[in-house]
Amino acid sequence: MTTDTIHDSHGHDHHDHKMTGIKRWLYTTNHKDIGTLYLWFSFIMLLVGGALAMLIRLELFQPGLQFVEPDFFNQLTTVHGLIMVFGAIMPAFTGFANWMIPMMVGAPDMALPRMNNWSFWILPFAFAILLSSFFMESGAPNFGWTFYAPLSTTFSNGSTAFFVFAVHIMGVSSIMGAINVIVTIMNMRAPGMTYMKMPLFVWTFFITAYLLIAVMPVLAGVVTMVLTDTYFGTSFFDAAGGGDPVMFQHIFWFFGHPEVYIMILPAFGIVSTIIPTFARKKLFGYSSMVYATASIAFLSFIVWAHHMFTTGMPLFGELFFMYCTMLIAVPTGVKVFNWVATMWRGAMTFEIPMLFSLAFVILFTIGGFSGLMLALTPVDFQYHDTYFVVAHFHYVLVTGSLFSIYAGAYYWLPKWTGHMYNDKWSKAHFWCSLISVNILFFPMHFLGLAGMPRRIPDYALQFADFNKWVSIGGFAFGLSQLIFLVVVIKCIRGGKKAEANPWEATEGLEWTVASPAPYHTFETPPKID
Amino acid sequence: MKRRNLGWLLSGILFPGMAWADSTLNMTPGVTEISNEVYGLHMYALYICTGIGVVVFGAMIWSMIFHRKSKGFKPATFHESTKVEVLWTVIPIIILIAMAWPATNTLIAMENNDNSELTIQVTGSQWKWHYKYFDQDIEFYSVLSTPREQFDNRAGLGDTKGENYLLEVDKHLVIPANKKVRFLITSDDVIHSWWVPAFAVKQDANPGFINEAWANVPEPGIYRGQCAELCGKDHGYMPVVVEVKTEQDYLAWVEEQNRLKDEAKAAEAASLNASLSMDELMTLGETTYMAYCAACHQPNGLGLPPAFPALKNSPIATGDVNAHIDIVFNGKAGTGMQGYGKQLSLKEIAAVVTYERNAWDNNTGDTVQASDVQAASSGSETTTEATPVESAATETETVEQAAPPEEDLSKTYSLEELMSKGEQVYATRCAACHKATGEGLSPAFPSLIGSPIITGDVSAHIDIVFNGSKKNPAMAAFSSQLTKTEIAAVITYERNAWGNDSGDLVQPADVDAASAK
Repeated sequence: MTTDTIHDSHGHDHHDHKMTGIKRWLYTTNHKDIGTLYLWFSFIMLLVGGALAMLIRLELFQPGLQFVEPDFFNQLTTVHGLIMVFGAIMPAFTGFANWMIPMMVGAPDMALPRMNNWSFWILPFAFAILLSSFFMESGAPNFGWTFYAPLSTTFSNGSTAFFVFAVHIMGVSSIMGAINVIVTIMNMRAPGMTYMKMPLFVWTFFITAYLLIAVMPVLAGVVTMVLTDTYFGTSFFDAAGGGDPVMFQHIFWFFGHPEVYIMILPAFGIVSTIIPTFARKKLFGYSSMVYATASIAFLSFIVWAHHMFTTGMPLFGELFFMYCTMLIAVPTGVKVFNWVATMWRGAMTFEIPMLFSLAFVILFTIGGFSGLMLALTPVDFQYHDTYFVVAHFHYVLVTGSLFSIYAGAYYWLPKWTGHMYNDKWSKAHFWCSLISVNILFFPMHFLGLAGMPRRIPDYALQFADFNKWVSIGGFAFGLSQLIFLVVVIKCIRGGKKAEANPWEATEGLEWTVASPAPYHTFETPPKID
Repeated sequence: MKRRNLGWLLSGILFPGMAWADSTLNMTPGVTEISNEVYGLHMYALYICTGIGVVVFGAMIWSMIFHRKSKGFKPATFHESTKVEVLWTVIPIIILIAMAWPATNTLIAMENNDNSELTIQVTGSQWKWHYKYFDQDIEFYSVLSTPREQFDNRAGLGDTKGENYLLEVDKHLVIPANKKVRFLITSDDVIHSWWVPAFAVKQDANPGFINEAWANVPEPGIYRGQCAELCGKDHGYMPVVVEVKTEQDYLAWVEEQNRLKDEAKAAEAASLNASLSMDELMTLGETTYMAYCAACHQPNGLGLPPAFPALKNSPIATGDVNAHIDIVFNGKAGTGMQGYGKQLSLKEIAAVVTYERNAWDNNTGDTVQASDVQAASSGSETTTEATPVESAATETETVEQAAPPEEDLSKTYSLEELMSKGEQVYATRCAACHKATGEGLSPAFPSLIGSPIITGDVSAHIDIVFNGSKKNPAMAAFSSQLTKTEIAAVITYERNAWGNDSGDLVQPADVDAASAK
């Protein structure tokens, strides 16, 4: 992909109808502003969710109850999960989509800019509602982020309605964001940019947006059923009224499993963009990457019950979901092999975005291995609901999704701010994160295999040593993320000027505009050969 | 894996003094044939993943070391190859088939619940397990026995915790060795999950539904597990302890249980006439309170509002005694407050009510005796229609206390007489589950309309009402709760209502004859 016009930004400055102060951010319809809002919001949520996680690790530092009551402990794990999934990872990717997709496809903005503003600005209210329940008499939701009925219905505390409405708003926001991405990609690509010429990040987010539209309404449905079961006397999930608590899990995981891929497909896209740049070699197997992403998205709809092997499914169901789940390893494997083949005989350098991407490939693959082991139903009976599962999904979500977000942030920070990031601080961020995250999550495998269930505030003595390690790693990892805050603030305030194309071997339209990217880009579409 | 060694190394350097003796790194093979197979599968999958990891990460690290710009390496230009893509699609599929094959075989063996020699119903409730033996008349609750001081850390940190901290219970589930034992797993409230790692058995306990699992344990011993599904506040405090005994020891244990049950019955009867002093009641009450009530209402009686209200100065603990007894005995629907009528003896309930009315400056001065509990709870059955399950339990006891009036089994009744009496009995005893319309609540409570039992052999029908169902533990035996005349009436009713219209008349003598078999 090359463009025949190098964009000159200086002519556009008079178009900026930016308002000043807070109004600029409240009323903005500019995709870059909204992208920035999403990214800051997700980072704040990461710190909030991280603070809750640190309280959890504090309580689990040694056996016995030291700091929190069991009920409050359950509130911590529940809200930690909800915040990280819906508040940190998903909005961060939407932030990337907002900033990068119009620039990557050569569009002047997102297709539906006012809806874009709306889809961001309802999010802070959603999380304010959710977090406010901590200050209610009954406390925050305490039934786990998976809110299994009837614990979340008949047996829930008084804040369930807050939880339900918060999730509704998050869902509305996600659906609007997804519609915007799809309309933009389908209608606003620059002339000559065919689907198979789109950057891989655009492809992965395109597919993610379809997943979002398919499953967020299912989540909205299931929380509504929880609401009416709790407050209006229905019995969707209550056997005494003819309902079925296991049906809750089927509906929830029909949303929940594609949700897992909503949180990892954009990560694949970011990493597939960064590795070729720093290996100075084109991405190996572009089209197979696209097909693999689409296959993963399709398979994600027919594997949901692998979260439910212990609920008493019939043998046939267990076999079906075991085989389908194992199949996901094939397209995922293709992706990993393609990344390695891209590096193979490249000329690699190890800037921070590349370091995070390499860590992503290795650590995400470790998460993939434990996923493959979990797919085997008979062994899953032993792993299920233990720390082995906790280790698994934190490897794919923290060293997977979060690391790819950091990789992308470092990669595009020069484009966003016009400055290079501080080398020393960012290296400190990477190495502290890499080491502490493994001290944090690797021993969880051992804890799970030794038999420690998840979501318990206290544990038997044979788990004490590893829990101490995990907690130490947790505090270190949490504090390391503050270094990133320092890096970003330093980068916004100054630093070495970034050129339009700060890296040697980039591909993509975003590098043809100045750094920092002007407020409006591609008002005249570039032409792609 | 490499990282593991690194972990050991690091730990040795940084924390040389830490005790690692108790920690295990890997899954344990367990003690049953199935659990050994599962362990084998786990290791097999782990080795395959390690192998793939060595190849993939090896290639990656190789190119990170040798294919770097700083070494002057010039990048190659290749960027696609259909041959390679096909190759690394096909090879993983072959590996997956090699993993799926043994996993399928093990799974089929695990899910085969046939030919069990003993069946035990396992019921989870917040936050304890209840075990009921189908062939013997044995049932009991199994509650965490680690003292609260140990996990509250009031006795100081660390050293005071026992060897089986949080993994010990007051009564073990006892099963015989070398027998296929089937577990029917269900729940009273939220979803729990019954897990014994050494048997590779983990099965969710779903309210209103019954799951099956089984184990055949060759080695006598004590095996510990925990609830694995988040079930509320004290999810971390409901361990599972299974004690496997040799056939002989098991039979001795069963005998012992029967003897203990008789003693308890005698003690219960005696307690109705006994009058305990305030001190005696307070002492027993405090022990009972700490074991059964303090988890929610807290040792200081302040509770954890709003879910678990304070008892100190509360309207219930300082108000009407009978209302207080009622809530302890029958629980309160829609809240976490369970009925303890089944779990505690009359004497214990009397003591705990006395304790609650006099501890924490409540100082009402009331003493409650077992006979008061008996009177209040049997009174409540006529007034509380909202809680059919609890009141049914209450009535069972009343029936046992008062000898049933003599029945004239030779009497014959007309169809109309049987139908009208049967309808009454059905409405009070059967309709809660099978519904007034006979449609039931599938699948736990089957429909009676056109059902094979209702339209089939009369003696099989009598048997299931009289003795309960062997297959479905939800179907209780009514032999001790209903007279033979009532059973005859309700069977006649079931066989002729809702369009079943068999025309069958069942007389008390038929029930007597069928039950004598």
